[in-house]
Amino acid sequence: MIERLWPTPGHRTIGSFSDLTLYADALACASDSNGITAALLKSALAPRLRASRHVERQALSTVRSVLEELEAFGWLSRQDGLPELRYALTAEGKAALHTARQADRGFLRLLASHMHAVYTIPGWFVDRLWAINPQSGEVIIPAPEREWNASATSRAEGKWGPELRQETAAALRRVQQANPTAFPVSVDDWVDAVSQAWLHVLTRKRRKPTAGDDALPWSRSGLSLAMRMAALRLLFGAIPYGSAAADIAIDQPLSVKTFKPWCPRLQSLELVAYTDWHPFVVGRLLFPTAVFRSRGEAFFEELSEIRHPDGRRLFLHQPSWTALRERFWVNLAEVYQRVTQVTGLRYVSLFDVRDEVCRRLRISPSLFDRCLGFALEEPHPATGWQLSLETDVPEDQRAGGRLERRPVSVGGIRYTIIAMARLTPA
Amino acid sequence: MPRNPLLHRPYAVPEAAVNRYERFGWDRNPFPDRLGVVPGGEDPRSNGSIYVESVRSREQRRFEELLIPTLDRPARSMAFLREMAGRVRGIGKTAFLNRQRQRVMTDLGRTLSGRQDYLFAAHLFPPGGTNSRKFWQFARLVIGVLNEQEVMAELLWLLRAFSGCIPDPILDQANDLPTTLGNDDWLRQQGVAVDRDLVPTVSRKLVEAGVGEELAEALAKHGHAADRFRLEFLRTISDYRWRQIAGPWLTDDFVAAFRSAGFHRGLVFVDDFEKIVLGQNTAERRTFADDIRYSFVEGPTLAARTKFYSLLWVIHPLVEEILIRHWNAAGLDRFCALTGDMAPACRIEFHPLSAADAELLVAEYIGAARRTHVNDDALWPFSPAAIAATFQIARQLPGHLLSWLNLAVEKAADDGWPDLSEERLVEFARTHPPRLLEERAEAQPLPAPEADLRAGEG
Repeated sequence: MIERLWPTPGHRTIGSFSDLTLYADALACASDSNGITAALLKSALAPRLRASRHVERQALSTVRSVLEELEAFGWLSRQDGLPELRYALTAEGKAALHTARQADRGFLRLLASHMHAVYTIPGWFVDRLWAINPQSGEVIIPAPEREWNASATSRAEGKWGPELRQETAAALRRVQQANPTAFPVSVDDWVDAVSQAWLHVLTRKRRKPTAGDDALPWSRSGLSLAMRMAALRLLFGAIPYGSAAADIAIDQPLSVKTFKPWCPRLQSLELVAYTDWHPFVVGRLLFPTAVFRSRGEAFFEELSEIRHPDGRRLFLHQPSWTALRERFWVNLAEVYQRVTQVTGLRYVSLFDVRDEVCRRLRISPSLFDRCLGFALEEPHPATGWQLSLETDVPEDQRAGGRLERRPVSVGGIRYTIIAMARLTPA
Repeated sequence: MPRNPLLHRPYAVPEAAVNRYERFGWDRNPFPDRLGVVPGGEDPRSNGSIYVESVRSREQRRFEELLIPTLDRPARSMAFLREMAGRVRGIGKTAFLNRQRQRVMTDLGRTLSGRQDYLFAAHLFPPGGTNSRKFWQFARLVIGVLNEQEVMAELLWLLRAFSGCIPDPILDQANDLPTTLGNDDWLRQQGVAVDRDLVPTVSRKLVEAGVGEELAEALAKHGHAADRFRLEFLRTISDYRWRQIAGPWLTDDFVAAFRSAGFHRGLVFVDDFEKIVLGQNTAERRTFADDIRYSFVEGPTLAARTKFYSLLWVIHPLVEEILIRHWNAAGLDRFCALTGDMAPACRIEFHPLSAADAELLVAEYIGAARRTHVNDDALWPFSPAAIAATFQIARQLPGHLLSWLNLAVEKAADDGWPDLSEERLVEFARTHPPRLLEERAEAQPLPAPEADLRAGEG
């Protein structure tokens, strides 16, 4: 049987941004002024919040890639004969802007279709997750323990050694304990792939070669990077691990550089969800919130423009609040209790709870936000639970990678911690 | 006695009418209710006084080889006590060091060293956080401990005795030094002119030995009683002043004072060294290591010139990793190597106990609580198999074993267990496992997702 391949992407590189509202802003800017340049757009983009960080201004290269991508979608066109690269809004672009002004989600669906048409990654990635783990689509990319750092002895040796090998194997073991099907790679293949990737990290070109000892390869982030490179090579290459034939006609559909912006983008498009800080998993947990199916069901929203090479259509898992309500409350309470047990605290990270609830219910973080909004509006006696959310940022979330976590935003308020208490019947 | 009920003065703690542990022939729960040892504490179960020397005989021998100078063998000026079980609590380091301190202080080290001059030992517990990051803070801690553990008081009693101000017949009556030579009122009753004669003489002798005047006077006046020296002198010194004088006092003035009274060496056990190291940033670690070398090994201090102090650092593998760069950069590896071929020569290795040792330890604790003769078996009501099983559950850590047995005995008394059999203890350990610190929870399998997106696809 000849498997049909995914179409070869028209473009490979993408801008290193993940804030999809930039597209709508760029379109609005182009419609307001007569044509748009990168410099013009840069000055028009207001300072904005991304994750919990305040982004003062967008870099010129980011702004340029926004315009290039919009051109690839057919929403902007280049104006010739001008000294400066200038774009004008096309008729399709006008329609897209109209959609963006009407409804956020409508615009995201439009964006998903266009991104898939240009890059193929959105549909291919969802399908790949299901190919790696046919049971649930859940994939965990292993990472070293959160406080891991190579010892002075390993550093002094300066090469791949037993300590790195042990941690690499231990990371895989942890992931397979959490979910035996989430990273179906043998230990030998895994250690081998990570050791090769680690050599790349060791011999990489450094931006400032004179800046003293290179600590990266022996740090958690260095080994973590090597693990991510290895995982991308093993699981997200043209040929899926353990399979004989390629499903796409290009060598390496995703590199470390493009994987980084694709994850948050696909999450915003509600196709997959991911987290690096799952409370019970060390590593990057990815799971699809969309699926290719031959027929639709209730709870699904069809995205008919994205089709599998075998003809199946893409459906986003979008159950209504009425359908989800009961299970949402049960899972929210269960996960809250489990996180509380582990941390010993009453107020725990809402992000931790969110990540696990989304994983259990297979819903996107944006849908979680909406559900939480509904849950907050419900009168207490009806639910049996008292729910309190606060906006204080706990100390352990004020720095490092945790700042990058997707916020939980309900009614424009960014909540960070949660406490729940069971109401005793009167 | 006033009849006002608000002013009732309790004069005796009444004994409980019923002894909960009668069945086992004990007058109390034999085991400590806490994990660590509290040297100087009131509870005999947790102050280190119940101790089985034979279970740590190997470590004790090594301790003597490394740190006790004898006539034919010098001692090291620095050594490590390294636990070989990983980063754990409850292996018995503090109890061991507490015991060694007591052995030294019983007769100021004369039996141990076989010499006529004196030795002292102090056991330091850094508080961690930001209060022991700098060398001056470390020096202040050592000075504080020398006072609290009555090393300074011993010094002053000796100085008073040798001052020539107290006649020999009175000295012969001084059997208990703290209440005699350490008590100004007693001396006055014996006709000694404490303020007019004794204090100025001791002070003058200290100054002549090379101690600064301020310190000499304070020591002569208050040093004989730890509480007074702390309240009247140490507490009055500001941080600003400590920063300037803590180092010089420890490495010059106090060394001069101790030497003038016949001490030839002072042992300082730095327990929980990680509390100092983990609180420091990189620059502070480097400076600290440099200061150690300057002060104790080869700087122009009296302590370095006379090799007066011997420091025993209690470490575990993690601290070793953090410290090694700075330790080696300061050149301390040549005097006391942390890693490499030379390391075993300057460390005491602290291993977990064997099951047989654990039995001895449990029997010792039971023996100390036994009040009626019930059974000849020293372990009764436990069986050797029960102790061996629970010892495994407590990861062969004696501290965890003992504090967990305390819980089990309480449970047995509450619920009226007929015996303390192996099955019962193992079952209790399953529901109430010992809380081993630093133990990472094993990864739990994630529950399967509730929603199946492929449902109905066939």
